[in-house]
Amino acid sequence: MSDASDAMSISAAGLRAQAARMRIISENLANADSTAREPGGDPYRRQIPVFEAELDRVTGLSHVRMNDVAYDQSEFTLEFDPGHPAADEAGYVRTSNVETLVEMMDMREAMRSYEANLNMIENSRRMQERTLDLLRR
Amino acid sequence: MRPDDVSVLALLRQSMSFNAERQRVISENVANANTPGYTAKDLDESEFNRAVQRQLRGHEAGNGPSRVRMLTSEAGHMSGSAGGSASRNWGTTDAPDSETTVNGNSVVLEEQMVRAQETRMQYESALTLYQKSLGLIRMAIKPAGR
Repeated sequence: MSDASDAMSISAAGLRAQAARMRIISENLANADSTAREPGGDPYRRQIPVFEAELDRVTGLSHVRMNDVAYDQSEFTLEFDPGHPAADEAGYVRTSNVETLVEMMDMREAMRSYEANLNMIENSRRMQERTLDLLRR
Repeated sequence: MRPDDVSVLALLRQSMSFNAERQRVISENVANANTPGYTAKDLDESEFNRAVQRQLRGHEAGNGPSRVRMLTSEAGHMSGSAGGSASRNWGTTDAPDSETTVNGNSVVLEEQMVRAQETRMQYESALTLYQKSLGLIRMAIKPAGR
């Protein structure tokens, strides 16, 4: 395969990884207010995508891949709500450790990386296109 | 006559292959812009310069640094190329960008984008020159008076 199509397949892997990251961020944001069902239970724990550069043995290219989802081990936030079914004896409910602000920033970064990958695809495509123009005359 | 027998065309082809491969390396960097512990890479420019010098002196007609090939002792053997893909002509080196994040990633998207545009411009100027040189040859082989 030519370098241009290699470059495109690498960028496509980058797009896939960033899209997967977007999915994780959506899950986090959607569950930002999830609490436990019963007292003492764990609420939603924030997920963190982990990227890894992976060597494709067939083509010899190094692709990026989201190989794991880690869980944020930081403390859950406590909210005073005695009427809640999951409240403990003191009246506190444990809610998820998702920080909406952090997720929004993460989302911006994912978008920026996604666009950068798109840009690289466009770049490689145009290079290849212009090379193929050699045949046209 | 092969196109590579014309030294200008051979030189330009080498420049194009270098820049195309550089584009691939930059794609790799951009795709790994969020991978922890990833170091940005670039092609070794000195290798390219050496290859061009060699070509200019006319010592070697081949393109790129000489590659190691698998030995074929029987007619049915496949030649095979080292490293899985046939298009690895140039070596890569680590070229971290100006910033390294806390998780050890040294890719700065802006710098990579600038480098990608530069590479494309170099590629396209080599390509245009190639086109022009082919045009000259074409003009020479055209029958007169047409």
